[in-house]
Amino acid sequence: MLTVLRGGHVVDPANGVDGIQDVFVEDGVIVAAPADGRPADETVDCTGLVVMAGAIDIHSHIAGGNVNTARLLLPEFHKAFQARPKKTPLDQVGWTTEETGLRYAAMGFTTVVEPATNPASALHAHLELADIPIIDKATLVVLGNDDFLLSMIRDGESPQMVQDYVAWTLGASRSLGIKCINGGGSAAFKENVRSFSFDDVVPSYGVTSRAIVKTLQGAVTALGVPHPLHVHCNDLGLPGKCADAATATIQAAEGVPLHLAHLQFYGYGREGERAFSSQGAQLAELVNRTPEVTVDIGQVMFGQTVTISSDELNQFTIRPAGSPKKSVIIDGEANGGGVVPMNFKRSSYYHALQWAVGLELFLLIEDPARVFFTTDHPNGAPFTAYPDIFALLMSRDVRQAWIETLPKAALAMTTLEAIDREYTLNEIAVMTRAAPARLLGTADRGHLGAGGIADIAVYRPDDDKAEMFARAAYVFKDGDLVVKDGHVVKRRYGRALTVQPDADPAMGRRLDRWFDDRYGLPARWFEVPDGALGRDDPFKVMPCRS
Amino acid sequence: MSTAWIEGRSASFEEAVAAASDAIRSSRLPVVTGLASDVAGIKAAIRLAQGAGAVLDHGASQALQAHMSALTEHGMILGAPAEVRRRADRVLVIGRGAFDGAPELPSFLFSHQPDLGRAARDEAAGRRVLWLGAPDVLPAFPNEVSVEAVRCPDEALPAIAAAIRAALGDRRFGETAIGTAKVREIAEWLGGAEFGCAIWSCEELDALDVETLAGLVVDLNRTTRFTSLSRTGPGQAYGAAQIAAAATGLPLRTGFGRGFAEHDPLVNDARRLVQAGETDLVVYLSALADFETEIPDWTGEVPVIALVPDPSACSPTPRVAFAVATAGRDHDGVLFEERMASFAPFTAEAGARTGMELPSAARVLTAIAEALGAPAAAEEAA
Ligand SMILES: [Zn+2]
Repeated sequence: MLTVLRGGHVVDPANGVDGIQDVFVEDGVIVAAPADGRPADETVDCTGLVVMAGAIDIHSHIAGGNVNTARLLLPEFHKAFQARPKKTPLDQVGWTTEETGLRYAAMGFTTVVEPATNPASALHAHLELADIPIIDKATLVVLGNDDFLLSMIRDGESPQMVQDYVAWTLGASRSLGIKCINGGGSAAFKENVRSFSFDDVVPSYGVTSRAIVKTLQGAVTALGVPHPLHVHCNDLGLPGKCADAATATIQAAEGVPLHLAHLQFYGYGREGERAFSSQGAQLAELVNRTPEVTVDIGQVMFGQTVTISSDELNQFTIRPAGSPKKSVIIDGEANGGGVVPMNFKRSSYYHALQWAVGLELFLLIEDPARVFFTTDHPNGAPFTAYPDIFALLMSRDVRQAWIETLPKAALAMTTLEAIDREYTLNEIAVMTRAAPARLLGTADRGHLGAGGIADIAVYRPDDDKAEMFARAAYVFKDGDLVVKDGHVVKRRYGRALTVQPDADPAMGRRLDRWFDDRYGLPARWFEVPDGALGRDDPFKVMPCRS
Repeated sequence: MSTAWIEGRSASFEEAVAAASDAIRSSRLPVVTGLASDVAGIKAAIRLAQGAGAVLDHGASQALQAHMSALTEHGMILGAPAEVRRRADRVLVIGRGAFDGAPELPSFLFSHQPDLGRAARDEAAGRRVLWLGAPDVLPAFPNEVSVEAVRCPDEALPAIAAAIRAALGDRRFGETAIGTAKVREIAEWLGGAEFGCAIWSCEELDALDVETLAGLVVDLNRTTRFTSLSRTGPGQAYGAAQIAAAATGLPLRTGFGRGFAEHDPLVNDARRLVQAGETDLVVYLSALADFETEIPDWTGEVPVIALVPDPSACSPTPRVAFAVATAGRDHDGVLFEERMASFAPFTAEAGARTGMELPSAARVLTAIAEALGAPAAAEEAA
């Protein structure tokens, strides 16, 4: 069946389009206008509407062990959601697998990446992802605190061996890329180290965080995995030290692609009475002159949320700042993690400054193709806060109205009030569509050119940009109309995107023996089988670079 | 061979599904429990409970509830057994039933010499185990492990744990069943761990006891590293809680009677609902290779829709019964695996006894849910 989305304002920066145009869809794929003038079987009138590719979220904690631990820790969050809809701070949190898919889809998002899957709980993550309706998803698998890798680096094993191990891990866990979270920090914390920076050495291994990051960056690059190594730096949130950690990591990219997660949480200096100031402008400037580096923000918004992270050391450290006062810390195999509830308050100097730092980074990093739109859901805020963030980026007046409600002393420590920039629709489309597809190596999406999958979001323009982006007028997933006027009209299930670089089978045999001997567990327990997820066709393999 | 029965008379699968859905439809408050199944079975049971407006509880969730209560009140520091096996230098085992239901756990944990952390740097360091409230006869431990057994009644354990916390914090504490000097000695020994682990089973503990033990572990982390294995009972109880949390946002003991999920561990206790006469129908699923598959006595006179491997053993006779394949033996699937603190895939055993003939629990539950008109596990566009 041929469908045409007629007469909309198409914003498709990947193809240089920003104007009125028709978009044709057939069999779930975007096609060129039929050369023979064949009429469409179905017409969707998009006159006066904005047509974009479906949005892509590159970093949102939506599934797996740590996310589910947060659900178990906080049943009252969900109770709030049910009892007084629209009145509680958490009323819009997509808390279940079901809600996650429905709420993302309503905003026009069609692909979401869960960015921190422990190899030992990859199956758990995929079991949850398989139940998230509508959207496609992917995982990034975490390496960098695992004994196997740290031992390889210590023992000077060859880059080829490391690549085989990374490739095996990607294939076993069915992931799209590699994440390194406070590399070496969790391993060091298990030996009671309480502070761990980029050039600190992991006890028992004599290996620095820098060496871990560089080793993984090298392996990811050599394997041709499209998504660069995704780094959660050391010293998250520690004033002064965090900015040093991000700076050192950016400088360590050395011309090779590297992605830094939630840069906002590293944007703090030690100036001022409270020894808590903004380093947002300095970090933005460094990003601007380091073209091989991409970042996402992890914007903080106000309200109750919960932090979920595999940075076990950092989560342990921030427990005193948590609210309500309860937390779970997990000493996992290799990676652990922590869940600490957090209530970001408008009246707090510290929280207001965090909010402003995020916006400084968004607005001062010049290239919208290198800065990605995230709240690090739910760490800075639930993903359902996205419409408000679009409004903040697109309107200086909206920012000013927010600023007036916040502690002046905090804003005075930032450059935010002096920034005039307003994101255009085209820049929003770069940041949330074209650039993420390029960053993830998923060329089948993020654009509206012929051959792309028909993931399309259509919005009703509104001066209130939060209103515009909260409820898409239409959303198509693989050509199916799934959302109309912000309501899901059709359930379907997407797939998990993966890469499968070749690994020497000898590595599989070596890991069989190693898991069996050291952990007493069969290696196959770390391998996610096709048949385990209850879906006919759960994975879609994306190509690696040759 | 029949695989379905209505009031003890063999029936076709379709007849039994219709009878089950009729019974659920006319029930005032059905309870979906047991949940001793694989992930697919548990997910299907959750969908049935949602569609039926039922209460959802695990059939053996006492231990789970004590653990969850402590977790949601104060939080915990938890460890993966596989990491404990490689790293823990001092292990505190608490209570005579610490390894109940997992006879292989001591050998899993202790047959391997620790090779991470201090042990990796100092081969003489080794591992020591102190079992507080040890049984008279210790289960088999691997030879090299030195176990110090400190005997005391189980009832005395919470007070001893509280006294150890006090000793660690230099606070005063009263007399306990093992004497003041022993309390101080244990506190000092625990504080001297490089990476310690406390192990207990919530089976014999109430929520406050679990909180005390969890608090002891948190206190130890002020100066050293210490983690815990808080064991949550048999029959995939923790796996069911995990799956329920993702699907409903809530741990188990959740009611769907008002059209949305409500979590209340006291109100939605399946056993209490039976005993208080608040439920008139129990859907009971128990089909695991290593777990009790009979309908428990506590269901009393309440009519039961049974999904078990061999319904002929059920007494009284279930209203509707399905013989279902045994997860972990008869068909491929996924189970929560305590040793890796996560889910693991399993494959059917070669030559499984009945796997080819019997439906999976997931298939039966999905058929009942569909007959009820509950939203199916939408597969429109997989
Ligand atoms: Zn994150």
